[in-house]
Amino acid sequence: MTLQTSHILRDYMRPETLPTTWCAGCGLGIIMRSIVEAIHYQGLKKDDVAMVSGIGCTGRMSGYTDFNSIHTTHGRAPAFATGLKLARPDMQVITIMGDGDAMSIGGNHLISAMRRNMDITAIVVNNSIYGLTGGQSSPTTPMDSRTTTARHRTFERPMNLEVLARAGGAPFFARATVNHTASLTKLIERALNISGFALVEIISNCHVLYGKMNEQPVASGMIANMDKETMRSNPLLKKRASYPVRETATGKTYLRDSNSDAAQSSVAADTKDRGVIFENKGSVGFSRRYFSMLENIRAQKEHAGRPDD
Amino acid sequence: MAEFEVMYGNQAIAEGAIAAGCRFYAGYPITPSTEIAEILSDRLPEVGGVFVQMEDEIASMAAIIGASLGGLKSATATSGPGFSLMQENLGYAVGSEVPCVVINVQRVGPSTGLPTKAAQGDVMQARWGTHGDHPIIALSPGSVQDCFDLTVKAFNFAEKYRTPVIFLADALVSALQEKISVPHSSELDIYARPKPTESPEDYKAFAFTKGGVAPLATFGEGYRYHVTGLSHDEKGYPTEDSALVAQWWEHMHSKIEDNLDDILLYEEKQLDDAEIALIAYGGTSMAADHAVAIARQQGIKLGLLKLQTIWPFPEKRVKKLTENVNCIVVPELNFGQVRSEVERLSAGQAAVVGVNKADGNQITPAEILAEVTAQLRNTP
Repeated sequence: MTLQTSHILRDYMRPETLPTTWCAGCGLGIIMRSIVEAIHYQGLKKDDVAMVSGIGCTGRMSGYTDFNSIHTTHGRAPAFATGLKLARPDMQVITIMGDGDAMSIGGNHLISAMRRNMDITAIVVNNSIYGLTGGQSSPTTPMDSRTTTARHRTFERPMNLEVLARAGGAPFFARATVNHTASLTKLIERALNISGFALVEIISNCHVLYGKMNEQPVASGMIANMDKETMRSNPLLKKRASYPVRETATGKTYLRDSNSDAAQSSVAADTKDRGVIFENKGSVGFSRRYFSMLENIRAQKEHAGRPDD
Repeated sequence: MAEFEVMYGNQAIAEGAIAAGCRFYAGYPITPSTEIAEILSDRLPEVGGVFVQMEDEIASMAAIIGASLGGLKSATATSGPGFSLMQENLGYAVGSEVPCVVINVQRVGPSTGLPTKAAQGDVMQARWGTHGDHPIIALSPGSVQDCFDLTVKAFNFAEKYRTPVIFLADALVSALQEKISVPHSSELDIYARPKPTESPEDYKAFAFTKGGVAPLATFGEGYRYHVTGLSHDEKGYPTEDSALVAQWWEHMHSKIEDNLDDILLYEEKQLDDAEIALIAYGGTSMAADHAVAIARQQGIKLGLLKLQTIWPFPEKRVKKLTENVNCIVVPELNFGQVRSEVERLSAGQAAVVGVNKADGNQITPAEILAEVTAQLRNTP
């Protein structure tokens, strides 16, 4: 990745840490740019942003971006972020994890942070493989894939993060791909404004490992196939794909079916941003609740301290 | 003025933490440490602090590191099974030099063991539990007073040397009730975390100074730096440069080894004329103390070295003791974890024997005295 790609990016990078360890054509560069753009467009100061990452290719992102950054242990980013957010409730805390990081080793932390409605913008980069260790099966590897730990093809079912997000009680879940960079940035911007746990799953490509073992060895081809990939791991999108298609000026748009999962959820997705699967508008995050409790305790104490009352 | 209060050990640890300035606690319930969490869930919000119950001990350890980087003095409390789960992020805190206090109220292990019974079986785990060679500080309270005083010390050491400090309590002291002296806040020596004075551009969060540490900047205050569990340079960026890694190791070891006078805490009782000595720590030191009193009545020249700092081990003091007495008896609720250290330092100078059990019962003064008199009979 070169610094010429975006003038915005340059102001948010740590040049001494570059080049990245990522392979040419990896979607992580696109994702890093989108995160930085979202922060920039939201007018957040670098000092007020913390990026907390896990382990793996995705985990390296926190080192490259010029925020307050923690490159934590494998899967634990939500737990580190919980401590940091409660110590510095004024900060915008973003976690960035891979699919193995978030859904396998860190599954418990992810679920608990959702249940707690901790104020974290959680970005999960899903490339369906363990990249840094060399192409082993991950919790989102599609069935019947080849990996370095499944030479005879995978037979485990991939995890669907959307279902986990609903069960965990996350107030916001969006799914995007590195093939749709403009909407990716917008989705992250929206997630940054959620009070509570906002989860964004980004489908990315590992053409070097997953692709080479599964007949998709070229980054561009793999990225072009992403809509299909997204549907494969997302039953909702699959269902939506079967709905009547309407032609618009900007291209094809899927019409919403009133019986769809999204319409049936407590608060239907805002159809303006494609990719928002569900959003609960009344969400109040953990830290806001906690510190209003502290305010109440302080007020009660002052009240009790006054002799005339 | 200090006030006298009756407290039990876990309560004194919780109050000591508040007095030391602890304002963040993350934990997971586990016997026999749970009261610490229960008390702090009440006390921390009262002083404007944060209490959060996490999903497990792995997350608890992670959360206190995150909070410490956010500028709060942080702690967690657990027992053996939870302490095992904490080893991963304990190593992270060591390597990334993040201050925090990890309280382990020891119970009988391995695994679930005897949840309500005291043991001292985690001494070596406190030293070597997380992977990789690394320095560590571990303190062990031998009374309810120690629970308060040493908890304050633990926070001070954590902040001063930017390291996790392990507080090795046991179910003997944690449930014991005693009258203790609670110092007024003005009488307490509290180490406040220093702020960096240099500009953010010049700031090196992980400076490889010899015998000291760089001030740890709080996240969000203009010093944007990188924290990682990877081997890193002085700015915190990952490195595989072996020369830098070697410098890092020197810094890590020297920040503890160059400050032993400050870190090593122990109490001596009747050692001046002792011919035979006890080395004890934690709850067992109470029985040892009693044994010395009885022995002296019987005319036996017995003394006690009570260790409060277990790691780093007070090597010089123990070595000197092995030169001055004929025999050292080490009572402990394990099968000789501290005794092996004493044997190593004695190197044949003095006989070293243990009084050991790990069956859930405590060691009595009579059992210690029986071993002492047996050793006296063996001495020519």
